[in-house]
Amino acid sequence: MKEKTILNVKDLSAAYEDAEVLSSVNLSLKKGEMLCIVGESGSGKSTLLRTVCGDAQIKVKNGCVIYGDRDITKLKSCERQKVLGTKIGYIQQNPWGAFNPLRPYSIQFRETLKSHKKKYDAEKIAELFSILGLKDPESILKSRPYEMSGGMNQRIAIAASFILGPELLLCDEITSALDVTTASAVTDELLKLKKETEVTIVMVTHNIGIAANIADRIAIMYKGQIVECGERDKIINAPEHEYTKRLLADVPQLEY
Amino acid sequence: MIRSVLKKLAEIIIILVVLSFFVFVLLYIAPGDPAEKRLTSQGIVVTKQVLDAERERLGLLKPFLVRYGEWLFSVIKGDFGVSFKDDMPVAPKLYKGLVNTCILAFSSLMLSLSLSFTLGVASAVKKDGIFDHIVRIFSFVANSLPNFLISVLLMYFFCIKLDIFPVIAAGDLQGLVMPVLSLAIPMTGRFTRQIRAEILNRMNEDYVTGMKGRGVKNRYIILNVVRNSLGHIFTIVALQIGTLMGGSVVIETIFRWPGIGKLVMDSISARDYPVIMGFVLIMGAIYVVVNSLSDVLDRTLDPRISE
Repeated sequence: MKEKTILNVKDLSAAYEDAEVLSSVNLSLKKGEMLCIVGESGSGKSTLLRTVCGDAQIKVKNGCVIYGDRDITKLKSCERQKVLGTKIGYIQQNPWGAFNPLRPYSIQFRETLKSHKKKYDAEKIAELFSILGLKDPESILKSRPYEMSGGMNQRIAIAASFILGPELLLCDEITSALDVTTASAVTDELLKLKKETEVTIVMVTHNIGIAANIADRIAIMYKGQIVECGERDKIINAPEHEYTKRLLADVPQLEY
Repeated sequence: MIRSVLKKLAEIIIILVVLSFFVFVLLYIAPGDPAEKRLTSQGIVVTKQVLDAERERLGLLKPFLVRYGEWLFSVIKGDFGVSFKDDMPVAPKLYKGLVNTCILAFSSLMLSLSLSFTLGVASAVKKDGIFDHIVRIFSFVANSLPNFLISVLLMYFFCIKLDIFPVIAAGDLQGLVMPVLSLAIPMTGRFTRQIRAEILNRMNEDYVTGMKGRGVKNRYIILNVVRNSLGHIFTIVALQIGTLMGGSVVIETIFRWPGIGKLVMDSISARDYPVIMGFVLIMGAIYVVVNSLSDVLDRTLDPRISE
């Protein structure tokens, strides 16, 4: 693994209108790693991802997010449109949130690809679908999102992100709306794709159990700050911050 | 499918029967005597004898329910009866008026839909920009002005001051412009506001964030949002059609456009019951059918809406 930094969040503070959600967040991402950001609801983990994507509702008060050699929080919307998807992918929690529920996937794949001047490649889509455990790509592409289950939709959303070949993929609690078995299947498939493409992934989750299974590094967020960040084994085995200790103590165990 | 069509048809028939009965009751208890109106307008000296004879001839002396039953049966047979005013059959009168009203209503609907669709979508996309502010002011003002006021203002400027258009619309193309504008301006204001609100509302849906996250171009996003809003926009338009036909009564009277609205105004002052009843029935049918069609269209566009 190369130790090249791909994304650098420096002293970032951001707010929705007046409510400050992120305060002085520092984070750097190495190329090819899998970073899990863990924290409770409202800790600012989703906001961090959305700030990187340039959500218009979030106002950056201070600091910057360096991608390549530019501060991507200051991109114009047309520049951002070119970066999002092809360089930085984003998948959100709601499995029905990636696509217009009423239009066939094939049209939406075409629109996605056309937006980046790429050709619609049915074979590549079929290949991605098969890695993601989606059978019969043709009939799936003809159908519409509202007809599909959450798990299927989330897999297709992952495929739609990977078809653009991003360097960095931001996943915002992508498994939390799915049932346990589907969630772990989707995570496994995502890891398989990661291995093939060497994409860097930031996965936001409130479940430290998932993070312990898949992450290279874990960052713990609490009240808008990253309170602890380090190698997975270190965070799991030797947590320093009180909140991390509490998180680990609260992981449910199976008891008979 | 066939079952739901039949169900809808039965529904329409029940609505129309109830509606016509209700209006028949209202006409029955309303003051004014058609026989007297007719005789006076013909310049005949009204005596009790003449009046009774005329009432007898028009069938006004029969009991209420018998009168309603006779009217209903003849309508079912396709006969709308003859006018109390001039003994001419009602159906051709209504047909001619309806054609003229449809020309007026359809032209103003098309004009205002194309305008408000463009303005509504554009101002939603450029929310809070200068264009959006201008559109919002325009739509607010246009929506607040009643159409009779607009028609009088238009008439004053374009027909009297500038003398470009005729004051009395003779049913030709040139005469159509002023009444169409009078109907279209307030409607455009209303539609623009509703379409803008609908598009803005749909812009907040999760899939828009998802598409932006993939860097999908804005025009595709707008296309998707507009496509999903169409069902709702059709419903707004369908609901407006009733108001449009009602509003055209006033406009047709002001510009003397020979439509069904003017016909019915004249018939009301002459207490010409068969024409009024025919008008109510036709308007009711149009309203119910258009709304049913918009329901069907809504469901076709968004199959998630269950039956």
